[in-house]
Amino acid sequence: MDAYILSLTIFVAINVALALSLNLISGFCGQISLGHAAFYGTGAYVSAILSVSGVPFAVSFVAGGIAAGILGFLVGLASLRVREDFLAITTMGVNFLFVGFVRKQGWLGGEIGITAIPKPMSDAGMATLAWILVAATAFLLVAIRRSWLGTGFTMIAQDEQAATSLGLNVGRFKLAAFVMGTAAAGMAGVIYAHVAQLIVPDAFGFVVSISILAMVVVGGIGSIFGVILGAVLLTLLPELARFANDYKLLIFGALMVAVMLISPGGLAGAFQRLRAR
Amino acid sequence: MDLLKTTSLSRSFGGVAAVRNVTLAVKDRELLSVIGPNGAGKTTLLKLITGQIPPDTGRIELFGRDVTAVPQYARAQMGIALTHQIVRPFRGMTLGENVTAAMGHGHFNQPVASLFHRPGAADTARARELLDLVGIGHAAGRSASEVPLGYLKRMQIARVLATDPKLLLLDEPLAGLNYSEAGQIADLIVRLNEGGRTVVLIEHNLGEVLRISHRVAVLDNGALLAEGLPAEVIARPDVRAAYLGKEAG
Repeated sequence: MDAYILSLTIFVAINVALALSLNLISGFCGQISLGHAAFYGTGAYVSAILSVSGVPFAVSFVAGGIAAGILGFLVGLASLRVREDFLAITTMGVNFLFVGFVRKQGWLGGEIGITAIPKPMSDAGMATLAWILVAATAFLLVAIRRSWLGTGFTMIAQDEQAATSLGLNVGRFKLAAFVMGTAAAGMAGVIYAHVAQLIVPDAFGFVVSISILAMVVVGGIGSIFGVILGAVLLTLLPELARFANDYKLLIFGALMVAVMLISPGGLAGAFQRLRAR
Repeated sequence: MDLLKTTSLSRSFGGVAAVRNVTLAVKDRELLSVIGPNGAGKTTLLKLITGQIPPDTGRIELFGRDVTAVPQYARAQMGIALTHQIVRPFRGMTLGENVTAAMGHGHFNQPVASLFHRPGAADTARARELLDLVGIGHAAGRSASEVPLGYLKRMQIARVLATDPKLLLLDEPLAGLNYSEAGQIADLIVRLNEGGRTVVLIEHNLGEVLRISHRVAVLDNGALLAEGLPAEVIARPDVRAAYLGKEAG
């Protein structure tokens, strides 16, 4: 396969995994997060530091996921105290804190980032790993949706007080959503770091968080199929049309506004309406 | 045996005492109504009992155990259920799904374990039975965002019954219902009580309160003004004054 196509396949998979993992937190459990790139970056940086130090990739991979999950747990604790727009601002702040922190750390490479990250396998192998992560994340989301865990998430998303009065341990369920979603984002970050072999702080900035959110919103918040579609389309769009790459943020923003006005359920909602006709 | 007991319970909001030094006991299988004029502190009292808000001072015992510091979800898991005065349906679900969701109460404490259990046909069937019990089984497939208030009031009762509670706290379940509907729901409350559930009812519909209650407690300005048999309590001049104004006394 052409090297460009192969690398594009990997980045599509990474974005699909990121969008699905955010969908778990924001779509399923209703906890708005504007800082998902911080968890993506945590996985990338932790695994890169370990791999550069000679630690086997398998250990780096797991450690990246665990580190992102731990940060997710801490941010999840904030979700127990603040809600909705206040949570959105808090998570946005976490993203700025992450980038600001990483930038000033000499041992993390500062502005230059971490270079010469060893590639553990061929591009084809990395692509396979990336799509295995997508499949595992999608499988997890399907399993959650069918389980009492998914029911609990939906109850929290729709009315937290009613859920609590029915005996749902809202705090634990929210933390579970944050830990699972952020750990998956961290694993996506591990793959990114080892494919790019170079990471810089800006690769995990607020703009990236908003791009991931755009994929979820355009695909359809809460829909597994829709979010996969949204992530694939929004990753390929800038690659297919050069002008789209130049105006990527403008187009993503316009798409989000259009979706909110025309089809709040995103592509998934539009498909459902078409099928119902 | 006292199923529920509050001792010297008080709660203020910004210097305004909503509940003042309330000591109240509810016996097993009793149907107690708490009445009082608007702003008397009835809903605040229920929120204190369920754990939605903490008391400033005082103690709450449930099933003989001090639960003052126990969080709301854990009290609900102990068998205490609340229907809200302002209905709180899960609006993105159907009425049937609302009740089915509550059937998962046995899985609501451990998120990881709950991933390995899923709602089944038995849960859906039980939810339908409960909706039939409250008289809206035919509307199980209708969205909670489009049915009338009376349906949501009934659904809330079915939903808390899905958690199999020992103590039912009903906050104005008859409000907003017409005469016939209110009578049906009041009869249902009696049936639930006769079926073994203890009921604490907050209600302004005095006709139904006097008809179905074993005992009545009256709150006024956050304090317990009177308690006893319905006919005796309502005949008291201080109770009538609290409800109708001082000249009534």
